[in-house]
Amino acid sequence: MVMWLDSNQYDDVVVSTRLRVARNLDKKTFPPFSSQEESEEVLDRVKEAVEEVFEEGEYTLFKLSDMEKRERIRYMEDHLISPGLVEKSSRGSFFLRNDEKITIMVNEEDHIRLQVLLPGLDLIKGWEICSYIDDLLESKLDYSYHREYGYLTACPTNTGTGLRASVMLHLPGVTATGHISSIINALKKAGLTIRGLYGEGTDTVGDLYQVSNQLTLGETEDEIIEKLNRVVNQLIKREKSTREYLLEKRHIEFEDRVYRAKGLLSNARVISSKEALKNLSTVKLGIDSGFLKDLKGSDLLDLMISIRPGNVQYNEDKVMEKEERDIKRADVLRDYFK
Amino acid sequence: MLCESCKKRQAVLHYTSVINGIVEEYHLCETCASEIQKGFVESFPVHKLFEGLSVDTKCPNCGLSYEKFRKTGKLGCSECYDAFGDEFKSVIKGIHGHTKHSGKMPKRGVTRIKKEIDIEELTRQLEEAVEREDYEKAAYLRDEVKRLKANL
Repeated sequence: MVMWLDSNQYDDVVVSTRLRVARNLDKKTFPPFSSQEESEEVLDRVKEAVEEVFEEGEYTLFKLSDMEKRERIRYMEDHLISPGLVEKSSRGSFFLRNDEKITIMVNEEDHIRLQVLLPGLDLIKGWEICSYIDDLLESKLDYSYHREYGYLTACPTNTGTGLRASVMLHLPGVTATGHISSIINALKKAGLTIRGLYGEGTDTVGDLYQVSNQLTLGETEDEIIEKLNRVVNQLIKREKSTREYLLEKRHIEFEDRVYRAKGLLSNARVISSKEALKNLSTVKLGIDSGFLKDLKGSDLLDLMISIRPGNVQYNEDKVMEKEERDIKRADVLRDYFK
Repeated sequence: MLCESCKKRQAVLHYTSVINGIVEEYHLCETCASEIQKGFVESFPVHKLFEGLSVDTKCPNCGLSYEKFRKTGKLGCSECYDAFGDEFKSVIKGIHGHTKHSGKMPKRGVTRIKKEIDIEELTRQLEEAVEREDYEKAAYLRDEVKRLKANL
């Protein structure tokens, strides 16, 4: 079970809320140009601060260079660290709070990337937590801050608040009807973006999307969050009404798709993560729409993460080639659906 | 005209975007345009937005040249933001449509910024005093600036 995915807070459309701020240490070379020595110095400084402001044992430090590849990928698949950090495995590190809801990434594109991850839609609380942790760290660290531009970041696209607020949504309804493309266009006009599973530059699989703010300078954090919240609530309404429409007008087709997907997952002997995600998404939609009453939507969400390639290898504790993974994945799925 | 994304094929698509009142023109070939359509902002490399600006300036703190910034789209350190001056400000404006942050400030940082503003103000007064040949005032201001700087 993915720890931050609290089954008590399961929501049939919103998977999670993520807030991250980018922070840098004043006058220190930003990670894209820093030497190994400089990045170690930054880690030491952040480590000191973390040890001073948090209880002992509240956070665990992970150095990517000390981890197996499958372990690094598993943390990314669980959304606890970013693909950007995994790319910088030789010098990237992260502090993970024990409940997995807070990650402090060090030496990603910026010196510090602080992330708060909560189940369901919880932007306001998420920002409160994020800002509080940010203040604690700032009490011990000199952040790069400019009178005019705000928080300074390695890439000027993050300058200002340094805040990227994003909500992960499961949108099988509007994806099936094709309305998703007009939604994408509308979001862009509102200064928001919609991206794939792991954020920037990643594919959409399993009808999972991340909606986030595009700009970071000009609006306050509260304004960014308020706008995102409003738009996400509209999206939820749209997704729900589409599901109702499909259920009413295309009932037999809908039901057929759900049971076929379950049939496939219950019987396959070899299955890729893409095919598994696609079908898990359909079964989850079925459960959320009142079919398959003996199954739980939160289990399906958990499976949508635990069948990903890094997770499969992490759980087996060994390196596995694609074919071997596809077989193991099918075993895991058959075991759940039997 | 060559496509400004790949710089190989002929540009056939001429695109004007208006984001927050900022007008940008793009000239692209069919292949790059279809790539970009998938997600305009994501797939169009950010550093392309910075081309056309040519300043051969280096950051005094980290040594990064403006040229290198243009190529990579990444800055070297916090000091680059001021080192690259007004040219860079127009980059910020181009991306965000704004240049003035209006959100959170670091708590300790605010105190430091206030001190910086004080130093600037006193330095200005100091220059004025020197010009007026009011050396008594100038000496006092010089000591104040020194004291504040030591406290930064």
